[in-house]
Amino acid sequence: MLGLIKKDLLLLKTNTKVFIFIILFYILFGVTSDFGPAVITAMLTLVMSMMVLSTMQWDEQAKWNSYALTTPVSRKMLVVSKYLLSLITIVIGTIMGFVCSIIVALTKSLIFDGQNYAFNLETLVIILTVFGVMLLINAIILPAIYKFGVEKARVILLVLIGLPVFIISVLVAVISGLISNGTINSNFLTNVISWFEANPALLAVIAVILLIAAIAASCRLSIKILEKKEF
Amino acid sequence: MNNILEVKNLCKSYGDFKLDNISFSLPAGCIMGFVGENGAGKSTTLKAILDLIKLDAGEITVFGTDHKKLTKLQKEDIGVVFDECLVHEQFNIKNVDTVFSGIYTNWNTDTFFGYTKRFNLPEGKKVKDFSRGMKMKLSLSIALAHNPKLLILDEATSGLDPVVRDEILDIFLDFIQDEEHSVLISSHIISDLEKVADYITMIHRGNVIIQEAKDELLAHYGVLHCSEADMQTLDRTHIKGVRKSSFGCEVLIDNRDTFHPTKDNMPIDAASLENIMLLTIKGGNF
Repeated sequence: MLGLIKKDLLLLKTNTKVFIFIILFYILFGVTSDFGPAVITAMLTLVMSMMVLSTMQWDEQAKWNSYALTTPVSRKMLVVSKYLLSLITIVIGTIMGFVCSIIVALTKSLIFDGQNYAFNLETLVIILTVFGVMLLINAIILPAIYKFGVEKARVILLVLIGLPVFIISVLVAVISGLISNGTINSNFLTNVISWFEANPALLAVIAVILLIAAIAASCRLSIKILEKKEF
Repeated sequence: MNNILEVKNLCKSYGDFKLDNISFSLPAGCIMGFVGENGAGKSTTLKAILDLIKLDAGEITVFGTDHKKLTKLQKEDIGVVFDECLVHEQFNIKNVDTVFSGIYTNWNTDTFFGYTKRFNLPEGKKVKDFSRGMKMKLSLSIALAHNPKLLILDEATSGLDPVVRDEILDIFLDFIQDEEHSVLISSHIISDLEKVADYITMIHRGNVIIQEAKDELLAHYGVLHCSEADMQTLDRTHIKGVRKSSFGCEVLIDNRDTFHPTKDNMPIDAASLENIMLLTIKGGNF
């Protein structure tokens, strides 16, 4: 298992120049724009979370899985190592993003005097949410890669990113329609929202439990797909 | 002498291609050459042994255990070399050592670098800049560095020059000096197998057509030259293949040492493994 993670980290290391370029780009982007620390952290977390996809593409190119399965590595280990890798890269991305946003804030307050970029609780919540969302995206994309290969999975990823926006617009349209023709009392909606606002900790706990359940289910699915696969 | 590897009635079909009741055993301390044309089923059989593909029927045991139930420790004892080097091209030799030492508990860095130095593999270069021969040597170094008991090689010497092949064959002969080691090598470079193999298993269109000790094959098989008419007078049970040409027939017989000519002028030559393979496969209709 350790060897597999080392392999992926070594592969990513060969791409260091690209990462440095990306980091510098986002720092520049952050300094010259109005985006707060949360957005910058999110961007970098996103970049890092896509790294697992890259390692799987390199694995495909090298036909690594066929060889790896002749070693003591089991199919289960191959899958679990990728999920661990996604956790590691997303944590690194979040930390890197946070550090970058501090650099951006400091640079900005030096250049544009007096600007104060608040790092408050809201920032932390956004960063943690992005962290969770990236884990969720990886959890969805990994089984897709095992089933369809990296190329097709990229397409699925593009659709996936657009899908929540689509679903939410549909939901908004439907719900506002239901409210305007009296099927749902608009008070009901306000009550639901204020209940969540009053119990943020509960919401967070529910979200974390759902996330862990989703990742576990995804991991099991990936293992199942890989066990059926023939090389 | 026990068998390190046993394949019994292996069946696997892929649409129009089928492995049909493949059976053979590889005893400890031996090298088995696995021969056949391209597409005969050699790679498929090896993949089945390594549990990379599923069997439709049959069973395979390695080190006495069902091949699907090998423990991690048992898998450490299998070294594999495929016809391509399946290591990431971005790596250099040091990276390879780092990766594999985290995969095999029996990985021996000194053994690995011993082989890479013996093969003159450059330490700083990335695998993508290696020549084909160098990639093969790297694959072999990896396979040998974790001290396996069973080596499985799928066309590992194809495309290599005779000097390199000779070196590699010597390594195999060294390898089986240990009575608990065995090698299963699939190849269509028959001269290599003639040099090192103890047993030959020949596979054609998914069927095992010959399975014998190499020395037995070379001792008993012969190529008889005669006319077509004379060929018809021979005992058919000993004819394994016939090739007809305008000069007459080449008849592969399996009883060269006890053969009695039925007519005058029936010269017999000893058969090489290549003759045996060609005449068995191409000379089926007689």
